[in-house]
Amino acid sequence: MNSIHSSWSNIFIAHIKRDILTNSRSLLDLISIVGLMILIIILFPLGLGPIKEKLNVVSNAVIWVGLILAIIPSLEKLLLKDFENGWLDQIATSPAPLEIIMLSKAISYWLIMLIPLILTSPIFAILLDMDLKNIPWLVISISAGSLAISLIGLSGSALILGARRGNILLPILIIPLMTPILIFGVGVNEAVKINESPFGNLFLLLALTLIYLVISPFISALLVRIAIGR
Amino acid sequence: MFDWLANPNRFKKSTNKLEPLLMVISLLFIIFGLYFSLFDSPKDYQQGDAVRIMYVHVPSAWLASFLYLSLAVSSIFYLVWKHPLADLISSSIAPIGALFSILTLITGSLWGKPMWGTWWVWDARLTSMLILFFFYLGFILLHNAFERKIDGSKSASVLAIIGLINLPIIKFSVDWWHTLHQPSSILKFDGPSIDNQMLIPLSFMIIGFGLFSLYLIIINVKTKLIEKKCEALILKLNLKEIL
Amino acid sequence: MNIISWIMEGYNVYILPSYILTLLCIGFLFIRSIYQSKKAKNLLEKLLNSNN
Repeated sequence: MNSIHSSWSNIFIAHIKRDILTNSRSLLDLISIVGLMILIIILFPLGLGPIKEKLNVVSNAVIWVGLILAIIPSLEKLLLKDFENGWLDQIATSPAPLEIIMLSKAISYWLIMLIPLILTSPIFAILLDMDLKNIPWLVISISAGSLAISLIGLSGSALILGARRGNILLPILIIPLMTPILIFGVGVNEAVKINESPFGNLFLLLALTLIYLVISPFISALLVRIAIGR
Repeated sequence: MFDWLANPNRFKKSTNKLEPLLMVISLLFIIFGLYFSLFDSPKDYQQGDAVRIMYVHVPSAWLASFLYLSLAVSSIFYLVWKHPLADLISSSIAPIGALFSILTLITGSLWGKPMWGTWWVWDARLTSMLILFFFYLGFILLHNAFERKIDGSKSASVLAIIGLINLPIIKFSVDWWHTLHQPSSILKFDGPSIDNQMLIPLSFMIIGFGLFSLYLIIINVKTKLIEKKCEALILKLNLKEIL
Repeated sequence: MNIISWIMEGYNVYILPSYILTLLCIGFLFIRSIYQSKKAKNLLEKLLNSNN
């Protein structure tokens, strides 16, 4: 590997390409994440009854909660595969900075798993009888928040590397971390609903995303180094 | 100070004298605090006698938050200076903090029933405390989730630091959420305006609870030191049998 | 200390459980710590004896 000579951006892009390639060969993960999202969405009309007014009230929150719940099973595998087959060991000993690689992991996860959910979210919104004028804001808020979600998910996934029953542990560890994203994300649309400016919530959401963009690669790299050092 | 205590033997020696002293003083504080808070403190002009729940609710809430701070600080010590004693301290703090955060929630809902009319209100502070409890729970679970203990210690320490960064964000977001959804029908409830005379039982209880937690932490750290020694001895015995 | 001071305007149904619960929790922590410490000390003694 000639990564000594290649710049950080080259490393970054190369790893995103690698992740997209390895993941596109198993479309099953992608289908299962969208399928899980649809199933979570279906549960709510079934639980609440098919009354349009009720669904309209909860639609925004349901889509956000569904998004957070739907990605949890896939987060477990985000680093685990590479950890088990020794790829992370290799990459950690290479001169490429692990932080950049972790960042590329989060971005590629976002591209592969969350972009499909963002693209399908208008369909869920219509299923749940959301007002049409709110749908663009839903897409904007989910696009802004989902990057933060995948960054948090990355550090959560790094936390459970090598743990027993990590799949059960993961939701307990990361759902508390996702609460601010949920609050500001839902807040964007709730503000639009009552004809207020959604920008307060949106900027807070973006600020959070920026904070995690800075913190999460470092924490994940630290955790991966701990996991490898065993 | 920390370096000096970091030697396990010195830690044991210096805390041997401190231990009974801490227990007696903290129990005295708690007993006097209980007397003051139940019988010898003024009623609140709005809440009447119900304000007396504050004297157990507020100390537990303070301790739950303060213990998390100490948990995170000792986790930083563990990760940076890699001293095993720091991990023993943080793993002793975690169950105590978790119990205090549950206690805060339960006494909060017992206080909420006469004040708000329901057992649970999605009040900003109660909600943050509930999330804090999950950080304690996550720490304890992660600490025990690995085959080798040291892996759990390291991962859980990082989790504690993640919590330290995120808890202020969560607190802020929950406050934001609460002001957004403030329903006008619910009585705005900021806790009582504190009378000087209420400060006496409150400070007695806070000092008592705090010193008692310190006492418990010291006992637990010592126990864990002994357990470590036992493990080493067991390994040694097994080796002898094999040889 | 007469009986009226225990009633507390009828709030005693909330006040007393919260106090009792708090004391029970503290007591539980205390007993658990002492028990574990005794157990560890006994084990250490046993091991030291069998080691000699």
